[in-house]
Amino acid sequence: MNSFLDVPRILRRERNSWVRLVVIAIFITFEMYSIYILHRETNEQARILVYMHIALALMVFSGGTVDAINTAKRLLKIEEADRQITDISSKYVSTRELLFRIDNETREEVGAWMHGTLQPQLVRLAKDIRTNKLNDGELVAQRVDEIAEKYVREYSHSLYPPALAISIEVALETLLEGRAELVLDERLTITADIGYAIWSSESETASIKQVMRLHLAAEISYATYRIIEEAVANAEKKSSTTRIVVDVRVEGEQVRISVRDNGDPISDNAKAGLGLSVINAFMQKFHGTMTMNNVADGVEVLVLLPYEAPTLADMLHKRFQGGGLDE
Amino acid sequence: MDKTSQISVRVIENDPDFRELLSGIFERSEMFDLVGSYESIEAFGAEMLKHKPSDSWFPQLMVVDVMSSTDPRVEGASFMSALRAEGLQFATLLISSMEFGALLRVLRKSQAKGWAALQKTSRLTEQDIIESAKAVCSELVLS
Repeated sequence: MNSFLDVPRILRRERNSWVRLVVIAIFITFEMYSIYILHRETNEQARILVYMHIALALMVFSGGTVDAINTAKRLLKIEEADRQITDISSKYVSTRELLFRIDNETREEVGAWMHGTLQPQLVRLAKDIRTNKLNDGELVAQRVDEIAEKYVREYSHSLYPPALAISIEVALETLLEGRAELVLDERLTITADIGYAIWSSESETASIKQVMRLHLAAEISYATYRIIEEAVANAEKKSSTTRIVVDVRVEGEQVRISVRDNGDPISDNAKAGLGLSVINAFMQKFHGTMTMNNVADGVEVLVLLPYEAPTLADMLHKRFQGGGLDE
Repeated sequence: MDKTSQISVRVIENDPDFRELLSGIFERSEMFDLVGSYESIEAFGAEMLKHKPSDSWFPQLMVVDVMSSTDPRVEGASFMSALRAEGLQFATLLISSMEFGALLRVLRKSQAKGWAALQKTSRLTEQDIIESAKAVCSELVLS
């Protein structure tokens, strides 16, 4: 008679939905049989006992059903989470492989530069000093300056453009100077309000109605820069190109990067041969999209990158909550 | 020279040798009055907040190494621009090894006058620094 008391426990414990269905079916059959006995039983005491059994069974069953529904919901969530974890794991593995490859390539390049460019320059300088070819302090200083400015600075800037530490606007203005026209989303420029008062308390509230400056995360900012750098270099390779326009804007939850040139159209075969390894690497890393299309007056490379949309004010508020700059 | 006729200067520079050099130049100059020297933007910011809201704490000239923060996410040019956007009036002489053309163009979109920059090289002389400092201050006064 007490078997039905196990139903909620079984339903809770059992993950296989078929087993759960069978348990519920047995339970219902058993209760139907009890009702059948009730219908036929003439002994009043026995009838009361069966009534009590059915009432108790219904209470337990309803509890069990709710439990079963909750369990099913939990299981669905677990299955969804499992799927997400698998998805993230595979993405993580491919991103890690990509980063490993990029890391190796970077080490290789930096190593080659130090060995093949910097070291010979320094060795030559030392030799010239020792052999008295360079016995004038000023000449030595000039050579050191040349190494520092022509080689070390240029190379370090190519590894990570320092202007990017200031803003995407300054970095792109520096990159595209004399090469392409830049159309930048107003919210990414210095003219937009940062919406955060460092000194005065009034400016914070006074600026609410103005265009608020958006914040690009460092890695998205870097990706945007490198993507544009590669797309512009590709456009410049075509001798027919006389004008390049770079347009960067934030649209919803995406950064939209368009690099449009007025050069000859590109055939499908030529597209495959273009060096777009940097763009492709960033597409893989950020799950963005890249298309290259012949348009009315030339060719457009269109890249969409995911974007989380805090304003600069959000970021500064979060960072300097409490007012101290050194937090 | 009477201090009131001198141009007050605060310097932010994380390289101790260069900070000493800059401080020495402004201390020696009769035209300028060095009122503060900081090893980082954070050190300057902490001192600044102690004097809030006294606008008179700000000098007439800020000499700032752009990358003088202990945090790579903070740099001097945007920080100075943000302060000036709040209405504070001071000229700014930026110093860094980076190229300045685009940076100055961008900064001038926000505040048209009172920006100058010097590239850090071994050829930079005391005279270059003083001349640039004087020029940027007069640009702001004349505007």
